[in-house]
Amino acid sequence: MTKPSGLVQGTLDVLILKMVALEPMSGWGIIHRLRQTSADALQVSHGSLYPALHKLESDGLIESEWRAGEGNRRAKFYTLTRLGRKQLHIESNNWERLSTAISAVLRLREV
Amino acid sequence: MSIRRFWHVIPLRLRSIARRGALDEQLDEEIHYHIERETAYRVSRGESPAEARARALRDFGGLERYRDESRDARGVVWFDALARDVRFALRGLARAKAFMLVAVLTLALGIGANTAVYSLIDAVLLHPLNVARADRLVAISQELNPQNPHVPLSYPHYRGMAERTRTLDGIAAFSTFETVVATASTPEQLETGVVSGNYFEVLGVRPQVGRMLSSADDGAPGTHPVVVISDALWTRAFNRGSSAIGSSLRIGGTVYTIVGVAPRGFRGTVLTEAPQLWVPAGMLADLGLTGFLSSANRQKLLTLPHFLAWSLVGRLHEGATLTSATTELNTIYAQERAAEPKFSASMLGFTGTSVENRIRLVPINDDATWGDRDNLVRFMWILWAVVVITLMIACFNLANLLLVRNAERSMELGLRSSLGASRARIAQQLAVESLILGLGGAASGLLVSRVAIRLLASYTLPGSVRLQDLALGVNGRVLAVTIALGVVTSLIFGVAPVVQASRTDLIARLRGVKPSGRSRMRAIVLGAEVALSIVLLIGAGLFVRTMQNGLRTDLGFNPAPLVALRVNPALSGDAGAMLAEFYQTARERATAIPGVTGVAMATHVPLERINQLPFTAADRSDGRGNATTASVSAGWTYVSPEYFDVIGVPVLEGRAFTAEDSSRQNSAVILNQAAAHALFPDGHPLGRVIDHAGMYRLTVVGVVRDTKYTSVRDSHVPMVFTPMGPAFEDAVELVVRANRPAVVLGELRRTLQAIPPHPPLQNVRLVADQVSAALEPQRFGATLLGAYSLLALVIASIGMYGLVAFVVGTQHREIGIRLALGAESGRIVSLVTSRVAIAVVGGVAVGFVVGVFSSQALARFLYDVAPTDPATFAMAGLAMIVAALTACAVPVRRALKIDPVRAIRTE
Repeated sequence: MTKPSGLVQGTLDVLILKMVALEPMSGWGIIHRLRQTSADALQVSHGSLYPALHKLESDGLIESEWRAGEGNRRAKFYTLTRLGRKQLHIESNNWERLSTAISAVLRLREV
Repeated sequence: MSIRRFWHVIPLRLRSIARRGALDEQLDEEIHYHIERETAYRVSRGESPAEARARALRDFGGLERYRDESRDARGVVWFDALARDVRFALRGLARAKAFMLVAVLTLALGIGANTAVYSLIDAVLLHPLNVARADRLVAISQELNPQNPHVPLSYPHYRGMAERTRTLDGIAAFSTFETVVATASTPEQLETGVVSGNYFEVLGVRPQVGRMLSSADDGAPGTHPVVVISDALWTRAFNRGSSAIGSSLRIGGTVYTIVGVAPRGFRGTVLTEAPQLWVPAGMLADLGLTGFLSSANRQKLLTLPHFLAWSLVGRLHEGATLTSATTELNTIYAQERAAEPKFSASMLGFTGTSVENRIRLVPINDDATWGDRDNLVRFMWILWAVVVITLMIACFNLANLLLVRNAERSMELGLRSSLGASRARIAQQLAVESLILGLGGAASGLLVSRVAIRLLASYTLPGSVRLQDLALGVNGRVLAVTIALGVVTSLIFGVAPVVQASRTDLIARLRGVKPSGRSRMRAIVLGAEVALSIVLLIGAGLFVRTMQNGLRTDLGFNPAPLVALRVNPALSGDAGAMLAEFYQTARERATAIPGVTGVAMATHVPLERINQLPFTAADRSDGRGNATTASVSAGWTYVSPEYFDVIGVPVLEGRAFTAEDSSRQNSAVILNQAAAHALFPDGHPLGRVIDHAGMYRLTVVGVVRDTKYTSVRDSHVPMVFTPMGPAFEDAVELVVRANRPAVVLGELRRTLQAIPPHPPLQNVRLVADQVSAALEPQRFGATLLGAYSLLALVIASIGMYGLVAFVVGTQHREIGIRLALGAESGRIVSLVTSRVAIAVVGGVAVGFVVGVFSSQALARFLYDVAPTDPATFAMAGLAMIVAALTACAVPVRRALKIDPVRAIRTE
């Protein structure tokens, strides 16, 4: 199984939730947006994005809709459900707590 | 996953499964869109289109793998794999036709037997009554004394309880009698229910046509000649026509009007009875019955407080319990009884001295007032055990077959495993195959059970439950049990192969490594088969010994030369002078048949059921009949003067009857030893007087030797014989003693039928045949156990043959080398049979140990043979060893004939 390099396990889900929380997005759109916002720091493997998306969808955290995408083709756009918004809230809180904790540890002065 | 989320997810998963194809397409479209966008993006960043597309695809990874993962996330894979496994298993089984045939056939026999016996248990023990809310119905009887715990009640006491009870919603009374019924066709003898008007109302039984009886039918005795007929009688006599309602039929000469038809399957509340029609209680004296129940006593039958003829059934009121109802009825009964004179048990016609008159309530479904429920339950358990054991043997055998089949398929399984199938996947595949076999077995088992149920119908269970009276068949419950059996058996026989497959190094098999330890599991399974077969063989042996002993037993007379025939004038209404003339002619002509040495008449021939009636010893000094002397419950038979001579029972004291006794009916009586001893323990019965119900006073003129009278297994039943008059109007058995009874049998019937006016003649038979008929449940046991132990033996033999053949097959080369090196044939034989030998010896040993315990369950059905009879055990072991030797002979010969040169070359 290919894991997104440099990503803590489970973070892909939060990132996806966050992305589709901003606006309805296609799979490619999510990857592209992540690339842009993180200045290519967050490289998501294209192969693992879709299983993650479908897992989130079947868990009821996001839902999808077919609409016209770029280049006059049908594309599947994902949006956040109410359940997903709750989940995102919980997860980002967790993340913030965790990152604060880690930063605190890392800031300890070495003797 | 929280519960809420779980509920949220289920429909999504189901949708995924249902719309698998569409989703796959959508997935393709989604991926293509992605590749396109990524390519476009890369081109916009300056890459060449071809390069951009290649990179986009590479970034994505293998499209195929991606698809699988995505589907996995949708939870579709498991279902897909299952469907694939089912298709795969069906294809595989279709290729192995012989295997499938043997497997399904074995299972069908095993499951079919179980279904048949379950339908029996369902009909007899679990749902014996075809009545609404049977769980609220109670059977009400009185405990007279410890000897007579379930005695019926009298009609006035029934009325008293029915009117005053608050804990029961209603109490109904019923009694069943054999009557002669004439519809349009010939008269026949039928069981007739005599019931209180509210009987059907209390039971909650509705008519399918017309009306049932009601309280309005109670009225004065003899004034309501109406009858409700059973579904069976409606079909037989009226072809299910609605014109039956309002038409009439005759019961014992009285004309009755048919008012309704009972629902199909309704047969009253007593398992051993199957009434075909029901009349109001007030009509009891108008059924053409004789003696006390004749029309002379019409006004008495419903008013006598000690005419204990009525069984009661009540429905518990909402909220009332068995205990509260028992307390209430006892209070009512005590008050009723207080106003009446006391009477002794013997006056009422029962054994024992004290009279307690305690009312007892029993849930109707386990009502013990009928027959021999305890024996019946035990017998059913034995039947159930036998069929379950057989099914287990079938399972083990099938497990062995599957082990062989998988050994043959190990290359294929190894290949699948090397291509990436996980062990779990392979195990699932094997399990699916087992499940399909199990369900196939269940389906064909249903067909087998239909045949089995038809075969069962001719048998009788303990307690005289005739199986043909029960509505045996496949209902919803039976169907559910059958399907469950299919699933459970497939789990049992499927486990060993699955365990084996998941343990074996399948990849090694691909490299050609021989399966060495493989036959150990098969030997264990085979040993279990042998042990179970031994248990069945022991059971069958014990029943067969019982039959042999029963047939050989000393009856007190020799049945071999006797032929009997029933003359039933009650069916035709023949009476008086015509009858006397017929009997006279019949006697003369029968005596003239060559080979006949004696002709006699009696109302009962030994080894058939006989009703027991109460008799008390009455000293001549006490003329009132309620003496304090001994009493006995005895069978009462009318006999002609020649009777004891003809059946060959010696008169020990006093004399036999004379022609003069016959004309002066009822004054002289002959007792058998058992009755004489019970009534006159002082040993001087001659000249003493006995009394029956205060109505008959008889003087003892002789004592005859005891014989077995009702069944070979009974101890001697007390018997009372009185002289039969020349124009006796009840059914009579004509008994003929002959040199060649089998030849005389046909001749006798022809001779009697040739007499111009003759009453209906029935049931010409050899008395010797009744000896085996009296062993009916034992015959059932012997037949069933015999058939199944034989089946088990055959199945085990197949298993033994298979194992030896397998060893010979897999060690072909080794045997060849050994033979080439000059090994003696004895060594080869022990090499190929050692596993089977261990399995058989171990199995027999275990079977003996189990047999010692399990055969105790049979004890009460055995006659003159101990449950641990060494000879029976030895025979069972011997049968198994002979079967083993026979089964192994062929493959062993093949092993000895192996050509060493060819064997070594072929690998």
